[in-house]
Amino acid sequence: MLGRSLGVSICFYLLAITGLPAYASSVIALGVLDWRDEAKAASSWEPTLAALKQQFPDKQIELHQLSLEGIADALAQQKLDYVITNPGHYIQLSQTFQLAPLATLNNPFFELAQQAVGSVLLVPVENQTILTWQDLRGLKLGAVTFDAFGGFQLIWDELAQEGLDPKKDFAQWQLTGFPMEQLFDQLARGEVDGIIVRSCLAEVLAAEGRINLADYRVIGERQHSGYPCLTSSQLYPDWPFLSTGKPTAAEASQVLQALLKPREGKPAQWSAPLSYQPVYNLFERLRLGPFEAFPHNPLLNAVYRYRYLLMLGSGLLVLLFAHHIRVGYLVRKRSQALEEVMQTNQEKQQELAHLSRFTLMGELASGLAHELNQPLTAIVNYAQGSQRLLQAVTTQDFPQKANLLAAAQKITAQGERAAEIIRNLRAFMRKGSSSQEQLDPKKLLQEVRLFMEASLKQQQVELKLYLPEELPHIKANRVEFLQIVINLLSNALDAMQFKLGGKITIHLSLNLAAKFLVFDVIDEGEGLTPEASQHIFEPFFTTRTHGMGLGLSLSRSLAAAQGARLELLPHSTGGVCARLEWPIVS
Amino acid sequence: MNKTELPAIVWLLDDEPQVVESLQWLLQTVGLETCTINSALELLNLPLDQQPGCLLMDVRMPLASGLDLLQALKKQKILLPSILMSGHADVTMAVRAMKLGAADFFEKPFNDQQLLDSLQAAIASHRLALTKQQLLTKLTQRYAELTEREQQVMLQLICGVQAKKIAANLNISPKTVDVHRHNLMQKMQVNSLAELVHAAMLLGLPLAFSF
Repeated sequence: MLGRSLGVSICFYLLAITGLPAYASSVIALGVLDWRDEAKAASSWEPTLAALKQQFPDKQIELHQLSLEGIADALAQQKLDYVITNPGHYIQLSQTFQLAPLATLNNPFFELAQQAVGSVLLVPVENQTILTWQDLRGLKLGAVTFDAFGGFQLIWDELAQEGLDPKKDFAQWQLTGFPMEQLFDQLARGEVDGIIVRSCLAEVLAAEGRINLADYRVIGERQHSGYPCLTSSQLYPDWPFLSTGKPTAAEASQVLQALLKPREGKPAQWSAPLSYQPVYNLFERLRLGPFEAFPHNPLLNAVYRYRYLLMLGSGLLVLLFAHHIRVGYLVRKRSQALEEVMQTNQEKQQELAHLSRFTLMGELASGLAHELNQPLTAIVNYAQGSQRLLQAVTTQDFPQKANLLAAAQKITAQGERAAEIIRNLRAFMRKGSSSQEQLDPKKLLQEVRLFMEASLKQQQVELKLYLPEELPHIKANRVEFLQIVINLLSNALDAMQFKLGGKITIHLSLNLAAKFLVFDVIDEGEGLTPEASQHIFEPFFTTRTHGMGLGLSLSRSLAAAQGARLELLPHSTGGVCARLEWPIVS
Repeated sequence: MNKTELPAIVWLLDDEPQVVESLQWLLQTVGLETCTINSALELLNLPLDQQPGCLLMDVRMPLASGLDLLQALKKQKILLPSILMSGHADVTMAVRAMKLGAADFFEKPFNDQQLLDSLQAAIASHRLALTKQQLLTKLTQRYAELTEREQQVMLQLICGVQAKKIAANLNISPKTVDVHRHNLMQKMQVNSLAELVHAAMLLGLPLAFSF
């Protein structure tokens, strides 16, 4: 790769030297910014043209004197090989065109510095009111044009640094155009309060005897070492000699050689290029050229400058926000769903609790009725016997007979009333359980699962259902059926309470001969002792510390009332199989 | 003394001693003798048909229910009628009790007059049943005391076969038939043919005679 590129460059070099017409154009077009009358301009670039002609004897060197726009147009049409223009214009052009500075102009007046472009603001020395930049406020100033780099623009930078806005803080700008010398005449005539001129112009005119330097005072004077002219501004590199990219590298090198070569004992008109970065910086400060679109406000400027980064950032922010909103929405939605589930669960639990309470109350009422009936029977018996005894005696023998008889009658009546109240209560408790429907066992078991879900989860017990393929409907009272199966399940859970995990199986099978659907609720508990299995269906018998011993006895009587059977069998798992045989719909 | 003329007794069986006591007291006021039974086992070993009476018991008892006991008594061919009581009766229970032969069914607490009426009726029926049973026992005994020939004559007599015909059937003389007839009427302690036919009906003898 390296070898090849070396070869190529050598080849170009040879071509350039031999000047083969097939590869090298016979014309070198040089565009120059015209800011003075043509004759003068031509003469000022004479050394450069001479050097080029010497370097390229076979070629025709064309010098095009062009305006600011003219150079831009010519570059756009690719008519130019090289361009000479002021630094400001170069920066402006570099925004659009590929321009490479080959050299920087040596100051034609002073041999010292290449940092030769500066501006100076002059006021008449007799005017004692204008001493600083701030004194200029509200005055009338003169300049060539706002576009002049080595004039207005450099002073603008100084004014801006002093906090002055050339457009607002001055009464009027007198723009004269070229030539620049006429500004001195205007100042002399008192038409303006101060003038902005290229530095060194005053010295040149003074040398020619046209003005007297002592008549002027410089505002904001700066000293630059080795720079002999009066300046109010910083110094910037002088005009660049620019290659447009159209010439070959070999030709450009030859041009550079010609430019740097001293001629006839005089130093060359050009020297090695300086950095034009300060000009960029100035333009950035003044929002000129490539920086025209940049806002003046530093904040807005930063926004504009980093707009792509900011766009990316705000895009990310928007995404983040959207994500946040989405997450918030999801969280809200899920927590709502969770809440609903919890509420359903709670409702079911409450229903279950209510059911159990209702059942318990029924059982208690039933027990109470039986228990209360006994003493009531005794009371009524005694009262009725007393009545009989009293009726047997005469009023003469026993004067209190009528009173006591009435009392005994009242005792009987009240006792019977109490018994009636109990009977009504029992009848009421029984009322709810009368209706039977045709029900789908699968749905019923789903309901059971819903009721027991929380308890099952708490004990980490799995509930497994095994259903036969054909599942007939059963004839049952829904509430009572649920109550029985839930009771069996909670018994199974209680039996497994010391053992986390495990499963409870509900196995359904058909006993077609007997027209029963058999529900086997099988737990993995420790089973029943023989003693317990003897008494398990008796009311108030319990193996639990907190049980009332009513569940199974009640379940059995509920089942019996609906034509179903309930029994407890030992199971091969070691646990208990509660077998509920329920009549099916024929 | 004939056991049917013995004073009636009401047997009481209830798991609640207070109720039993009150019942005893109530029944004493109307002059009924009572006897408290403490358990189902005791009930089944008592000589229940030795005097007229009635059994008054609760349906719901710890070991054996009143309905179970009804069945057991029936199996033992006890004539004693039973009246059942219940603190929480329902229709099913009452129907089952009546089907098993209960004389009556009361819901606690009960009206004394109704209970007493029912008790008296039950006692009366028991008395009647006992009388019937006694009569039957006597008749069976008497019938067993007849000779074979006397039994043959009696079987034909109750079917209305005339003496001559009987004599021809048995290949004996009509006079002998008359002797047998006189003897068997005496042995059976009846005064007329009608009474004899009645006794034969009670004994369940065939009332049709084929030759």
